[in-house]
Amino acid sequence: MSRSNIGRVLEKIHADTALRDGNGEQNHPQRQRRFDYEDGVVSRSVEAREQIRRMHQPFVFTNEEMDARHLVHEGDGNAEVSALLKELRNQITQSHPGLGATVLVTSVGAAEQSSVLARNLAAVLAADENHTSLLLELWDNDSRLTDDEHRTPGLSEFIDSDDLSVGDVIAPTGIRRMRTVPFGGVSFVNDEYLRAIRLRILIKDVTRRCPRDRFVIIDAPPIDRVLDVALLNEYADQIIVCLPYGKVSISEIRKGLGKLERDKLMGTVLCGAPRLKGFFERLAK
Amino acid sequence: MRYSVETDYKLLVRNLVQYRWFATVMFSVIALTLAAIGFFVPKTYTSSSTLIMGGETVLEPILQGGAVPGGGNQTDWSEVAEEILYSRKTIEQLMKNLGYIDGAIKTQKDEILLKRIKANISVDLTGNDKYLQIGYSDEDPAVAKRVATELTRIFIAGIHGYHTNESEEAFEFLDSQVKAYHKKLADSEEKLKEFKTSRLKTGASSEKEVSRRLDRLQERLDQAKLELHEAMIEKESLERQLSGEVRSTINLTTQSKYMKRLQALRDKLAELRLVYHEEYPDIQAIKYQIEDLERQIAEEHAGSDNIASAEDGFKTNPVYQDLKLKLSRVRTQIATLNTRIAETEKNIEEERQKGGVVHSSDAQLAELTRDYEVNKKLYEDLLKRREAARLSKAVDEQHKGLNVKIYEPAFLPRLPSGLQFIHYVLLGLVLGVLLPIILIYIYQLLDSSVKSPDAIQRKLKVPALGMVPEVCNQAETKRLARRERLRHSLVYLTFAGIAIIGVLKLLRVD
Repeated sequence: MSRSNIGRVLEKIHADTALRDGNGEQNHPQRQRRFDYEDGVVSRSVEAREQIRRMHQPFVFTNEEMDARHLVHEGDGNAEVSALLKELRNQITQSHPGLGATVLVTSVGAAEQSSVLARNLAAVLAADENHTSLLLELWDNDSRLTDDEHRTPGLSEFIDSDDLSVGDVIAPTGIRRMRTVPFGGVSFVNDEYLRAIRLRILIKDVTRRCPRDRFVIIDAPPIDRVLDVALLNEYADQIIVCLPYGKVSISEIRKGLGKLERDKLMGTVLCGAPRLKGFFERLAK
Repeated sequence: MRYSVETDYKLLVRNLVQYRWFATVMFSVIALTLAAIGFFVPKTYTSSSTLIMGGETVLEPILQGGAVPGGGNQTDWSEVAEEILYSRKTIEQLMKNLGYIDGAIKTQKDEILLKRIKANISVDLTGNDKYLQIGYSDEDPAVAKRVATELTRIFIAGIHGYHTNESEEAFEFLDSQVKAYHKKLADSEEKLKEFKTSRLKTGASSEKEVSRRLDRLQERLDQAKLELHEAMIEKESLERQLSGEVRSTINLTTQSKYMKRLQALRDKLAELRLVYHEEYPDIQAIKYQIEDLERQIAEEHAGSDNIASAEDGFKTNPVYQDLKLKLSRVRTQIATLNTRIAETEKNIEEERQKGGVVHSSDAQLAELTRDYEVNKKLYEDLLKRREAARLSKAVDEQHKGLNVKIYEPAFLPRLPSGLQFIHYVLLGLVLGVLLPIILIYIYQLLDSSVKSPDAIQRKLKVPALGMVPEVCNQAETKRLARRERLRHSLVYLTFAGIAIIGVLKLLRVD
């Protein structure tokens, strides 16, 4: 729909639901102004939608490609994960209505599973037409979202060289409305890179880009491995901690959680539980 | 902090699923192993005979209090049976009868066989201890029957012997006791007799007699003393009389003259006093005459001591002779009495000594008598008992007291007893399912890693967002499915294996 059409529809809506000021009288000039104001807001969200729609989407993942990247999709037998993701998405969007948020996904010893969770979360958040998501890969693990074909310079390159700008490292993914800042090709010896100024710049920029509709998912390394989590705590609005099933003890978890800001902790997810089929599923419910 | 029961069981299910391979393999192994065991275990057949023990015979109430008939309710027949049947002798005999050994147990193999046979014998009391079952188990039902029959026979023969033995032993014992006491009794009788005769010989008598005799002797002594005393007095008076007689023969003449005169004078005096006053001269003159006369008498008296001179004169005096006779007689009497007194005193002393002896001898007599009495009583009692034992023995020898009946003789077993193949199979299946569950549960109790979102939430106070399995793509799902199929086939194979073993077992037997 064109902008003028939208305007007419809204006009009608506003005409029906009569605008009232404190006295209950309709004040045309005010209404006009309000309408304009409203129009501005509406137009801005509309504009945003337009922008979103017009986002560059060079390629789309096929089901096989989704599979290869452990991205959940319809009918792939990962219904439980799917349900959980939807639940998480609801929680996130409800706590930040009309705005975007930065969600940190980390783990205590769960390694790849937290990355998988992070990217799936990003995917599910991007499923809504009104939102976009950006997956920021903070660490290098074997699981790859972007393959060599569409390799772009990533986070590590950005930190490494001053020449790159933030826009250079943001890459599209095969999922509509989902962007990513891949980790990149440069490998670091230790996690000193987490303290780099360049990283700060990157994150700051990324999280402030589109505040109204962008969800930034930071795929963070396991916090029991990272020494300095200040950065993580600073930029995250919410933190999800992924825990591997049957591999950590309570004390380890407690230690890990202690590093994170309590208020921002959204919760824990137990990943890698045994799959229960049929009879057993009913038994364990 | 412990998990709640609900979480526990849900967690158990998850754990079982997680370790399903372990569980499946364990199940396979256990089920197949037990089936194999069941395959190799041979069928055993048990044959047993049932006997009724005890019960009253006709004799029992009759013999009440006397003999002890066999088959009393107090006997623990299973113990007796075990004693008889498990004895080496019995089994050796059995082995000989069955033809397993020639004469005696020689080799180690024989020993092992003996042990095995012993293990296969069963003795049970059933039906409120009224029935005794003697059984034998063997792979061959015929052997089982034969041995069971043999055992029963041995047992019945054995208990008669057992009880007869008992009564015989009792009898033997009592008999020996009777003999011992008889001897004791004879001894004490002999001693008593000896003692009595020895007492008789020494003339010893009882204390009563002794005191009686003492009294008598004392009396005699006193009497003798008294007589002596009298005799002494008599002697003295006789002597006096005799000496006096000498003098009085003199004095009698003179003295009687003087006495006559004195008397006359006194008479006259009295006469005169009647008439006249005291100061009358005649009275005075008579008084002077009396005085003179009296003086004269006194002088005569004093001078009459030397009789010797006067003796000659009157030896022929009859009184004097008489007195002399009497005196000698008295003297004799005195001597006699003295002797008697001395003897009596001696007798008394003897008696006193004897009395002392008699005391102890009396005590001794009492003891010996007591001894004898006691022995007699015991002996009589033992006699009675011995006769009762003799009666018991007689009853047993004729098998009249023991009431054993064969209720059911040993039969030929058609069905095998004990655990059979099917039992092993079922046991294997049940164990194969339970054991892994138990082991996994134990593992669960010890497992400290985090497996439950509730626990996390509870312990860390952080919201638990959920629990999800790993994201699996198609390839992984396929792989998982393949593995599952493999695992399922393992289960089917296990059942197939059990079935095959069962079939083999059936074929083998036939």
